[in-house]
Amino acid sequence: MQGWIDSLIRGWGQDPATWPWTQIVYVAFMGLFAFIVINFAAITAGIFSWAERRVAARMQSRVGPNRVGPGGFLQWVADAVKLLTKEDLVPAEADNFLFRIAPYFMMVGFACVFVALPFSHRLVIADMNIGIFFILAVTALIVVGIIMSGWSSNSKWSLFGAIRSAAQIISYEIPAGMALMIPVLLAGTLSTQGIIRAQGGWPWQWFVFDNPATFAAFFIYFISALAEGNRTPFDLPEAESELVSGYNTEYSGMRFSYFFLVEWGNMWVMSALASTMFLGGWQIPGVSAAQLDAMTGGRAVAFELLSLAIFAGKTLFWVFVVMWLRWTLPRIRVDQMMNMCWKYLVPVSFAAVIFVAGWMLVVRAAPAVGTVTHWIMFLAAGVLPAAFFINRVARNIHDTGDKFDFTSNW
Amino acid sequence: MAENVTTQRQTPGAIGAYVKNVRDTAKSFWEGMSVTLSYMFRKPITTQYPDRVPVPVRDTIPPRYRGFLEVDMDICTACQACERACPIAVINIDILKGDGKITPKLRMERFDIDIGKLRFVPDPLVPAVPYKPPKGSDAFPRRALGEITRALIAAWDAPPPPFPSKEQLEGDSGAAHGKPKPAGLDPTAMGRQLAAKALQVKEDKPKLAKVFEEAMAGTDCGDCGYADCKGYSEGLASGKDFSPEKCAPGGADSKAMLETILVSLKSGKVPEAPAAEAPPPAETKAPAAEAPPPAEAKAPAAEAPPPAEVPAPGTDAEAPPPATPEPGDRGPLR
Amino acid sequence: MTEPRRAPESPTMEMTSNKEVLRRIEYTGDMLLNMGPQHPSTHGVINFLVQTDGEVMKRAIPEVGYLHRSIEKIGEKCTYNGFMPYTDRVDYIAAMFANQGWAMAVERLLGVEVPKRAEYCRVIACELNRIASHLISAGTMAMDVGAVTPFPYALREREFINDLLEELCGARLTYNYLRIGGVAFDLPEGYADKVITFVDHFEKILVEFNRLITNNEIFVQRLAGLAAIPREMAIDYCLVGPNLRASGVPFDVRKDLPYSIYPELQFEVPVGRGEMGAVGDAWDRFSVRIAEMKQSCRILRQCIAQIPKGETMAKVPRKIKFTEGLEAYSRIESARGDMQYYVVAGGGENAYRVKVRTGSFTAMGIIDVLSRGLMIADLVALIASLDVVAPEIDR
Repeated sequence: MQGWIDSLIRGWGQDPATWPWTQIVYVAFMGLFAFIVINFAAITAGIFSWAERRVAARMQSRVGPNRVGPGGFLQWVADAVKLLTKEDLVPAEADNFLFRIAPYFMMVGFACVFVALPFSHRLVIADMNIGIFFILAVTALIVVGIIMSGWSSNSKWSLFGAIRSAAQIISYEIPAGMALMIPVLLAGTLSTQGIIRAQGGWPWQWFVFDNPATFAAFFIYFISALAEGNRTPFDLPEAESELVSGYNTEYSGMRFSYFFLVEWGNMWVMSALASTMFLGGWQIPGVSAAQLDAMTGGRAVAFELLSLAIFAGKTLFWVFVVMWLRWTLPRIRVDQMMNMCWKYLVPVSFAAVIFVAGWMLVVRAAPAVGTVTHWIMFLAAGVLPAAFFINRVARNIHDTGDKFDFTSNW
Repeated sequence: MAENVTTQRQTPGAIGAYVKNVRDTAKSFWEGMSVTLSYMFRKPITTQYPDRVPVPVRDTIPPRYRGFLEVDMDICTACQACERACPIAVINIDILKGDGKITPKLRMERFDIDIGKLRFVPDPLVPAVPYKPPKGSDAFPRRALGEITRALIAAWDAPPPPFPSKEQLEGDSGAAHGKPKPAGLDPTAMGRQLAAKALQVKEDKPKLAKVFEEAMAGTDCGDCGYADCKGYSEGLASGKDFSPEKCAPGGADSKAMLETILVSLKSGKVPEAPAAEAPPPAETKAPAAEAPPPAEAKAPAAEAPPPAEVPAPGTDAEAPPPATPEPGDRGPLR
Repeated sequence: MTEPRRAPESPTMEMTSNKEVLRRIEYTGDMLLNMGPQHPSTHGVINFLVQTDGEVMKRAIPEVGYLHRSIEKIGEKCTYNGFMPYTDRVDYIAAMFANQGWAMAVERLLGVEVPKRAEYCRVIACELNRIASHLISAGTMAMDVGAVTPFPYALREREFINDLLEELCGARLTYNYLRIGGVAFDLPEGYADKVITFVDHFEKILVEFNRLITNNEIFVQRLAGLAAIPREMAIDYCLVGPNLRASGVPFDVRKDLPYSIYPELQFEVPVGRGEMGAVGDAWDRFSVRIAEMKQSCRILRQCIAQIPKGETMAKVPRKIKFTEGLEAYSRIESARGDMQYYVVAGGGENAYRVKVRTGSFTAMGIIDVLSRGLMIADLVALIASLDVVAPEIDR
């Protein structure tokens, strides 16, 4: 975005290198972007809270909140107002200062991720050349907030949640990082925009279908992201049936809402990262990144919006999958969680990195192998399972003597 | 714990178990997710109680439902068998004893049910009633469980009677707001009677006030500015007040009657009956239009008769007569 | 006047008060965790004193009595008929069985023969109730392990049963359907068709339920091998019902001490076979319940096909009185296992002593032993797998 501000300053007839107000303008725009990012995060999290409840309700054969606004869409506003006006209780025996400050650590760790996350072809706050590294580093702040909240609450249940969370997030950062190394290897850059540019618009040009190892890496990343976001089946830190509510047991009101804002906002972050790294990001099918760069005027704006829509569509699909998983699966136990990480995900992710490194050599020698693999992977791992799955779902409805009815009783 | 978890299934070879675990996990994701997704595309089983249910809940409860609590007083002989039989002493009955001829021998004065203790048990004790059924029937005419309550609920849920239109209201205003006197007594005749009475008790202020009070609606509404009808009538009787039109509930009738009384008190004699008086039935229908003429004729100080002006704004306002509200329109109010 | 027979005095046991336990835990330097009485997954108001060192528990001691309502004492103050509604409250998840135990005990005192049709009505109601109770058990177990969705599915099916039972007896939870000497109401018009429709539907749903949760790998991993109770241990600790059968003991009161019309019906007694882990583990207890639901469906079909015409009430005196000291004992197979009523008649219309023996209470005894070395998450699954119902523990 710096280049865009520079060009703006040039438009005012000043040279950004010498103009004395340049730094001030930078700071002003930083404030503006921070405001936009935090609001975007908060509103997305709010909408997801509504969407999750509607999705959960439908999956559980219920109706869900549908009274506030059209289809209950404004439910999240009502809930936010309620949470903000509730009393902010601090337990008598709690560590007052840490207890109050803990949610902000989580908020900071969560909001900073948006700095490097792309939204569309040109829309990214800062296209850093260490984008992925930055995201992985900044996410670690969340765990600090969780441990703080669990410790300072002075409650045994909170402490359990915090310790579980620490163990979980730190462990799962390793497979997540290794899985994200694979697109970095393939693209040869750490910049998020650069990784998207290295992929294509069509599904068979995505990294996920590049070769079997990337396909595995995608799922390793996705599982690790679930664990880092404390989502089922890895919701041990806030396991309701075991730890009452885990690290946020003692929180109420606004501070409590921060925890949930981070949890739901994280769904966007993990899904956006997945679509950036493996699913072609904002790439429009049939239009190359170079063509997009060359566009100007209204056409550029139209394609910009199209790329934004494509990116948001991919992200929202994975957000839905995250919700869907949550309302399907049981929770795993803490030792199984560790087993899964160290015995399954970490070795497979290392193997995948090595395999991809070798694969790149093969493809460089014979590019045709790469193209053929794209197509085989796309058909075998993408189209076929999807078709079988849709068939399975239809059969499920038929088997229990029910019928397809998506529209009624919303 | 790890020792406890070791299962038989993991024993076949390390690699085999490893692969099998991954495969089983993927399979159970596949199966479970297909089930939950399929419910996205089915109709939810829950209903949106209470306002968006296809059938009102009271119509879905089966005949044996026993959440109803009812006593059929028609067959109650106050024998207290139910009170004695109740295992948890929920029922409390007070009885009155009669002579057995005019009043029944036993009558129920109080039938209390302690809801706090109540368990809504279907009453197995009805056959225990030791009294003889009425002659000619071989048993007490026992109603089905819930019949009384259902009838009551049906009555409550029935659409209210159609709201009266403005025309009907105005047409009935005489009858509705008129004196609660039996029909056929027209205000002029009544006024003359009262005036005659008033002349007799002219000097006895309290009695005179009583006569004035008879001419009023007697609702103690306080529209006249006094606390109640008694105050107004005492004011008129003592001569502090001369305005006969203050009784709003009595309307034109009261005004006419009070005027008649006041005039006759002033003049000392009862005014004559007007020669060409409309027949009484017509007057009860629209007394406002007919009542004042005698008063007007006899009392020059009286104001212009109101009947001419009261309907006038009404007729203007109701140029498009409002449609009678349909019973269905009142649904949300229920 | 002869003294009525009294229960033999229990042998003196080493009584450890909770205070004592707390003091001991303090010396060890472990953490004491009070799990309950208001914990989301203790299935009612039970407290568990958990001695723990991190995630791994050293011991969990159940502390019962929060829900004691002295129902047995009430039974001594009520008439025999009047106690029937109270038996509903012994186990509100499966109230029909508590009704039946009491009815059978008093019928044995009276020596009345219950009409055949009434027996069929009882069995239909009880088996429907058994399915409902097992559905609650399976649903909450899935929820305690973290899967929320099976619970609404289970409750949805239970609602159909509640509708059926409401139509039969007018209540959805505390039925009070049985009477001493029969049942309160005959089957309503068209009831047989409705039951068969439900059973057909339910068997399909059960397949789907198995695919969603019973065979889910995470669920299996959580429960397989967890707190396995060997055959001898299960007998020693007096486990009953599905908990006992999961340990491989094919003991079912319906088969082994037959009552009512069960000898005329064809059904199997499912036992745990250790398919996923050890015999008698938590997953076996879950799957035994699922299998029992299938058997209940089978019983329902037979009952509907065989039900004879006739009376639903035997001739029972209006005022039930016994000579003092008469006693009777009844055992039935409740949803939570062997439920037993012991009644000693007092002189008048009241009993001298009523004792209810329930499956949940005996299941509480084994938790202390099983919990050693488990994790906190496992304790939740263990409690759920034993299918304890707090009011049935305390009565």
